[in-house]
Amino acid sequence: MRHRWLLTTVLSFACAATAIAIVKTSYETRQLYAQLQTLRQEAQQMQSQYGQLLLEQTALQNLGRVERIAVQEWDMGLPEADAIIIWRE
Amino acid sequence: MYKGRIIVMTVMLSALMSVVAGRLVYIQLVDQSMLASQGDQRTLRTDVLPASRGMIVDRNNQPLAVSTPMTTIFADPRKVDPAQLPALAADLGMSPGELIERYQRFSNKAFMYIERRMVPSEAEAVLAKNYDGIYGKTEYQRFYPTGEVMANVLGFTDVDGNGIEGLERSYDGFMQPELGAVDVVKDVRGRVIRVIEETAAPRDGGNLQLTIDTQLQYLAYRELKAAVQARNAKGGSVVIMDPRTGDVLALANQPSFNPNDRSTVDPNGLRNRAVIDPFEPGSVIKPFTIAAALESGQYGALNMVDTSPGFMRVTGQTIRDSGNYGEISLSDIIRRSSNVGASKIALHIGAQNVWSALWETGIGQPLNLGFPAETNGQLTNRPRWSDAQTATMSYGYGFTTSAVHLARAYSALANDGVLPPARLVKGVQTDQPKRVFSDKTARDVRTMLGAVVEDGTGRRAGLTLYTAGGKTGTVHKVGANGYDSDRYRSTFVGMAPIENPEMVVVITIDEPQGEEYYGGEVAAPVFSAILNRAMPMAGVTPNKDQPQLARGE
Repeated sequence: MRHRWLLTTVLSFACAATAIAIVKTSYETRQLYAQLQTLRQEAQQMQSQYGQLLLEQTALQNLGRVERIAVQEWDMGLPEADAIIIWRE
Repeated sequence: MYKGRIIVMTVMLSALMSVVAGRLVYIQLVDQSMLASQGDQRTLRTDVLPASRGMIVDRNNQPLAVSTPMTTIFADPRKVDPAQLPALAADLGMSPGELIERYQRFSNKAFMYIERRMVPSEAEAVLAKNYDGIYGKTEYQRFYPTGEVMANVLGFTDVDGNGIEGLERSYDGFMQPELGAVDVVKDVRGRVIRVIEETAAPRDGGNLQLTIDTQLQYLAYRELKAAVQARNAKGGSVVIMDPRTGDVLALANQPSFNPNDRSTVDPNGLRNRAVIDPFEPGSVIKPFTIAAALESGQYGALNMVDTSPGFMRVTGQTIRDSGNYGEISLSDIIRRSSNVGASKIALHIGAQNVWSALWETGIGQPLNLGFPAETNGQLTNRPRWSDAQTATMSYGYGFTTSAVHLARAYSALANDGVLPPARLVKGVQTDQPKRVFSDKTARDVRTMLGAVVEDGTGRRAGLTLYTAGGKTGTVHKVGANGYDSDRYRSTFVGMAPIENPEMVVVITIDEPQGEEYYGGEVAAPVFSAILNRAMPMAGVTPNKDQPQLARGE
């Protein structure tokens, strides 16, 4: 008879402990998931910014643009054949 | 005493029970509307977690197709407050009348797009005003930084992000993202109250790396476009290949289109001609006839062939040269592009030898680039070849091939007789390189190709700092009544430096107009325009001796 009481008490405590653990875990899960969401959003914002920067970079390094600036603004040009010296070791 | 306690307990418990039961009855039977509204306010939904389609990048990881997250604003018309619509329209810069009219058409539906793919920060500003029944979600927009320069190679996706043209289509499955799913409880405004469980994690699609070099591609495209415009031609293609690996370094076509604004797309511009359009190659095939002759052992590089009087009759057909070249060497047959010379050689060594030389170098065989609708061209073997069929094959008529096929075939000559597999996408399984000519045959033919540029039909392909070689071609196009006399395809296939080629370049210009239409006049200058820039850019050491250097020593 006494054993029964003991068993019930132990199980009750275990039950309570599990219940608290569940609450704690689900709280933590929620916290972590919220964090994951925030990070995903951040990643997405960065990706979006990366896309914009990429487009900007592409526009800036466009061969036509680089050539125009080199020729018009900096007065550069392709060297004539006789202006090239090839150095062979 | 004991009994009294039990009675008190029983009464108290019964009272409690009846309160609970009464409340239940009240809720169930009397106050149904409250439950219903609470139920509406919290609904269990499955949300989609967005993931982005994989990028396409070039051989140096420079992006060619990129997905950026944008915000799409949509509405649940049943929950929209029509009185707020004019304000919403003003925020979005739309006409209020149009928006209200659209809303009325959708008023009994559960979903309606307001504006797709807005810049996220602008969309957030609108969503922050919390209009009733107006929500936002992430959708990706595909950008093509290189624009028209590579449009018909990359292809494009439809509005829902499925590849429908070009590489976007053939590698769609590889680049498709795996969307995530999450079970959530939402309130009446669609805001998430509680996350229940993420049932699938979002996963971005794979990145596709090409063998293309974007800088070379720009150059090739620009020079091709300039030539097509100057010649008022119908179109054209340029293919640049690394003959040692078979990597396609540039693949440009005209006409093209702007993939970032497809409101005005010319359907002609969609075609990646260099890969899907078969054509009769013409004289650019002659080097393979010569290679077959050298391989057969019946001819040496110094052998002479009598081409006089500049024409010959073969089973009822007349084959002509531009003049009477008399007795000329194999090299001169290439240099002056003699149809009679090529025909005589082919008839001497036999059709099978010529056919196998072409077949072995991949003419008529699959390209396996991974592009949709690639052509194989058509090169059929016959049990019996008539003399006329043999002769026409020897100078590139009677069968079809594509620009990339020609680049691959010439790569065998450039690569000392070893045919590389053509490759456009990095990391795919390709065939093994295959020896198709002897080292000596390939070098001998290359020397002949050098003579074409030095002092033959391809003089205008000459480079300032590098030795080069190649072969010109001018093909009458087939019209309704056989070969048209005034519609041509001008081609040039070349390589540089000729002693140890780093690049093989194919140029075809479709129907050039005006006085000049020969491959040596129309296509060869494009070769020199591209490679004069491309070779130094690629860091190839100049190998032509300069007058300056000679003087300095």
